[in-house]
Amino acid sequence: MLDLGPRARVVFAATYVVAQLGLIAWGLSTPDHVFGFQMFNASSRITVNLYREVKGRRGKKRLVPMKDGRWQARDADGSLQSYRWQDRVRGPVLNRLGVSTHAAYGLNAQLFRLQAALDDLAAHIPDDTQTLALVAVVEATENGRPVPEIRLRGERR
Amino acid sequence: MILLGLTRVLVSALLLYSTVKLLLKLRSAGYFADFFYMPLVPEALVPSAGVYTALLALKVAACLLSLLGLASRPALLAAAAIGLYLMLCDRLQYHNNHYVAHLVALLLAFTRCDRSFLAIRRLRSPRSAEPDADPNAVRGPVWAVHLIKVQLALVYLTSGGSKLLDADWRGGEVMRLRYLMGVDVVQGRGYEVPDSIRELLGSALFASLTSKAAIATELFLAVGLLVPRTRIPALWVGVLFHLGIQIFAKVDLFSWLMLSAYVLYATPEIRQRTLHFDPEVPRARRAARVVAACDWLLRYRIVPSRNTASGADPGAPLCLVDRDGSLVTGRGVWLTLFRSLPPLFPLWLPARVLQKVLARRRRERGSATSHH
Repeated sequence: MLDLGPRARVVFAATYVVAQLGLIAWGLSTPDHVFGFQMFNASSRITVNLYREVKGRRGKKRLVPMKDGRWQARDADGSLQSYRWQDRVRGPVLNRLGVSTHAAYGLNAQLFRLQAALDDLAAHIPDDTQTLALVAVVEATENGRPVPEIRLRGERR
Repeated sequence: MILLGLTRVLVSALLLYSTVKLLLKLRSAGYFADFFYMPLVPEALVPSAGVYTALLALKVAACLLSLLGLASRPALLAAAAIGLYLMLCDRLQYHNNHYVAHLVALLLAFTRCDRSFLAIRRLRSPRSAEPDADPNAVRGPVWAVHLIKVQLALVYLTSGGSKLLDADWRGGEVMRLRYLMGVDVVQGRGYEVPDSIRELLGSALFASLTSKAAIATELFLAVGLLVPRTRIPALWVGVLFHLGIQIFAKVDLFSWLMLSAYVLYATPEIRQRTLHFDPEVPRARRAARVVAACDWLLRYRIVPSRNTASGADPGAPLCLVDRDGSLVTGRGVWLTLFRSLPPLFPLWLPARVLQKVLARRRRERGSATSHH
């Protein structure tokens, strides 16, 4: 099976090269450049601060900071439940909260992952009846240049 | 075939290493899909914890089989296919170096990489695994080897090309910040970094020059390794480039993978060169021992030939007969050895430059004497 005939070799090689070029082109267009062979592509830094959006006493929405990614919220029965960002989100960049960290694969890659992580966690806290959304306030530098504060939201569904 | 066999062993070892690391991570940190992950394939195609564990175990077995030389090619294909599939199951676990390693393994499975370095056969019968001395007897189609070379060229071209198009990279800011980050890491480990080094690494000029050099190197490697005329200098530049990256940056498998793949750029030959040494001369004996230890590609026959060396240069303690039958003596012996023995290869270009400089000086001195 692995000893291809002359025609099959040409077909395989052509398909392989076209597929590679396609993957590279696609990879370069994605925020994290997956399959794009982007080695040491940036020297950006990111600091992620997490908040919960909850309803205040007068029904006004407000942001409550999560200390070390932890929070407590009541479930449908009124019991207090504990949650932790790091219990769901791992990895050397996204689970370091409040600390300036090297943004591996570039700032866009980490923002892309952070948005997905917020959405993921928001979908995995069904018992939390108080949190309306998870919010990340990001301070970052892109190759040494400070970028304006970025806010990302993970909406509860 | 010996080159393919050696590359197979090296690539299998790298895949084995990365897979064992994943198994250890599975044991210590748990199944990746129990946490936040980002699949590239539909979620239904992501394996369960049990299947994931079984796939990793299967990949370890495939890597071991390939490493030992038992059903090497199907085993290598299986290891590559499993690795690439699992990479598609979580893009958070994607790393360029792992991806390239799996692509090289995949393509290597389509080469005749199963004819040499067969440890399993050597265990059964110690003599049978010695590669055939006649390279014609073990020659096979090389289309997949060319495809591996094209793949590596694409890696260099994409990496170097995108850096060239990025003003921050081209200008040196990305590198400057990385240097300073490296200084912080070193200092964080309790080592002192002299102010002069810190200043140099933080200087925009140094960063700009080294960035341009890195981009030029990657683009040169993309083309230079494919062109026969520039292949040897490109290999030399590549070896130094990857060793440098391995020392100064954390790139996991990448440098070792590229250096393993560089074996494929060597000219296929087995024992086609002969090193003659005089066993009475300690210096020559030592040199023969060095050659024996460094001859990873089995290029030399090492022959003790008292006084006469090859017969053409009586009295020379060390000489060699090259692949084309030409006799090499004097400093040329070491230059040839540096060029042909992998661990000594980094010395080749400096030695060649030194030889050229000395030869030029000798010529100048000779012409000055004849004028007088």
